[in-house]
Amino acid sequence: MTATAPKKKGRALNSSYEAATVLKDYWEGATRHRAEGRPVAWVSGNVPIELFWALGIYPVYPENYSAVCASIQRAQEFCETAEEKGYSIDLCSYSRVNLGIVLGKGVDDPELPYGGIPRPDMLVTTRIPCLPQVKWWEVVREHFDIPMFVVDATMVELPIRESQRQHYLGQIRELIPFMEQKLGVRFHEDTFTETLKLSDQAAELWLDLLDLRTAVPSPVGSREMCGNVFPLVAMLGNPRTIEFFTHLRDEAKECVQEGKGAVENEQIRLGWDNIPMWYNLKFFSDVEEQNAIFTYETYLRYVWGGRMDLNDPWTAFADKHLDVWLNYSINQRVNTLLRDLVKFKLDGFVFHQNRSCKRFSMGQRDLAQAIQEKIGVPSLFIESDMADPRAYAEAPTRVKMETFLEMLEGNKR
Amino acid sequence: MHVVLADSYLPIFAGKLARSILEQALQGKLAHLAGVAISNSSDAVRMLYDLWGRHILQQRAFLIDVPAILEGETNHRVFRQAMLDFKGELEKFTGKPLEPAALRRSIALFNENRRLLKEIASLMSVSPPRVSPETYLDALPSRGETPQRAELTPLHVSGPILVDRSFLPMLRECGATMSSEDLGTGSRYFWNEVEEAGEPVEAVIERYWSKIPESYKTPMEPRWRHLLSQIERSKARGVIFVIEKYSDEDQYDYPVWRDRLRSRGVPCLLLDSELVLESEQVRTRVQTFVDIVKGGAFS
Repeated sequence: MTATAPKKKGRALNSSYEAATVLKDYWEGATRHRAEGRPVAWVSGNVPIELFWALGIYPVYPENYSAVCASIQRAQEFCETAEEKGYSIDLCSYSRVNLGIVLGKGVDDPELPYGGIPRPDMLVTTRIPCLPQVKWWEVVREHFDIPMFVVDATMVELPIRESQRQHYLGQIRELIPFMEQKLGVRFHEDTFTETLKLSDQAAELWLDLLDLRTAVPSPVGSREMCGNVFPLVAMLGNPRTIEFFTHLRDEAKECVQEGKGAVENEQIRLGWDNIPMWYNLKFFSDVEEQNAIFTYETYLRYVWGGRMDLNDPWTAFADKHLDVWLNYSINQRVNTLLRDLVKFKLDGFVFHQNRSCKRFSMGQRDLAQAIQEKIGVPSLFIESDMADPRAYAEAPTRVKMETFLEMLEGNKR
Repeated sequence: MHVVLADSYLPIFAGKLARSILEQALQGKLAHLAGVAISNSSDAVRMLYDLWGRHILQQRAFLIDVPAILEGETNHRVFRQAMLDFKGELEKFTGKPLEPAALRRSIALFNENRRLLKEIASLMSVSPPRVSPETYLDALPSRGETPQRAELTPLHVSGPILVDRSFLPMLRECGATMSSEDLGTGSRYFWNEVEEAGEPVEAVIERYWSKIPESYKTPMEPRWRHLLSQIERSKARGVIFVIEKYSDEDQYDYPVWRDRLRSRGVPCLLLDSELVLESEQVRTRVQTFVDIVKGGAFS
């Protein structure tokens, strides 16, 4: 077993304990990078991340920082600060956490997690996950008054059209000189190609790991996997990601070979759609007490880290970044779900209607209908938010979940 | 409109506008239309296109799949192509090619309408106003309405859309009047003309690329300049933002605009709307705001 820490109750894979260290190293690395006078960019989900590592620009993810704040129960105070500044409670809670920090006590506040968020030299974002992401960045630009670049993309149905690919690559060809000029860095194709290799290797390991979760019993549940995903978002092109994911994959493989599941007596297998409730990851592990496990998540499988055919690196790079769940049309989401779901042998599916992520949440009724009609998997809808705990109603959600599990149990008899 | 059927497809936080449009379609109230054209004007509206294709099967939906970022050569090229694609789809659908001469006539007519609307806008901004905001927004001949009183405080109205016209008499009852606006369905819609010389299709495309952008488009500065110029032109003493609940793009803009305006001594009020504004709470807030503006607390 690839154990790196003594096994404690609550983690199916010992390697999962590395996640906290990886995350801490990432944020401390960002602070160090800044302190050494090297460039830092604030970026958002689904930016062309490999470019940043290849150019020596540290990509700082305020979204992840918001999730971290939520997980340690500090999101609400920042959300409230943003709301006091005029940002509606209906806006994305990741952005409200961030704007609460930026417009409140500031990013250098020593009481912030990891000692604060390193100040950006540049802002890079994209419309790929959603339009509001771009609006959030506009507010941040208003505050810091620094250069900003936005990568646009229209939503896709697979296969990606050549015109969409060229749209993306055309903007990348504009972004590279923009970064070179504004930040004094230099692009080298060789370094970029090496970064892509590392990125693809990480994606391969991650997808192997997810595929291992088709096994019955499943080696690892959603709570742990949500904690493990971060390097796939922010550290593609960083060798530390390969090391971490190799440990996870090997350990999960061993569990599967030994027939060892995360839940001792696995009875019910569940899928999850949308970003998790970071302040309440316990929601995932609570079901394990009832012999159920979440073993499939759209958020972990299709939002980050697709594979690339490096024989044609630029095409692969474009396709990887366009081919993500949040950039899919509803038809594509339905097709993808129907293509992949059967092998996970799910008994039920939980849709999180996430007030903060409209792009993720719209179309869910169509998905639920499709999986019920085509593969007989029933669904439950819960309403909440990914970072703002005020949108979560514990008692009714718990009752709904328990009733759903009882129903699924009944279906199996 | 009470939304019932659309609730099965769109969550409440998709916004009333998208949900009520889908509701109308699901109820068959739009069945008289040959088709619908949908743009990328918000994530909810973009999803509306997908839902149309899945659930309103008897009606053709077109997607004007333009970029939202109005910067850079690549986006400009893609924007142009998306507009040409839309034109091609329409030609196929109608079975008729777009005749340049017909398009020129249409451009000339639309430009004339735009110039006339600008004139009406200026008549609304004078003191005392010579047309009512209702007349202006409806772009209809005046129906002998009571002339506006000079003592009404001129205010600018900003936002994507003002559906509830009962807001305008309510504003007057509170002692103010709309003297200018930068609504998405108002001056932002008609302010820029199409160049009449040259190739007409290209001229139309160029107009939509360079017009005052909606809130979902980046960069935001041209929108700000338009807002400011309208306030200056009409000598508005304050700004009321009427923003649809769940319209993220406008909700992000509001605090930025508000802070910039406040730094210029222009007071602002935000009204959250779900298409309807008529309530005692709104009236009280507007009345208080008008009193503050008249009192000069911000000037």
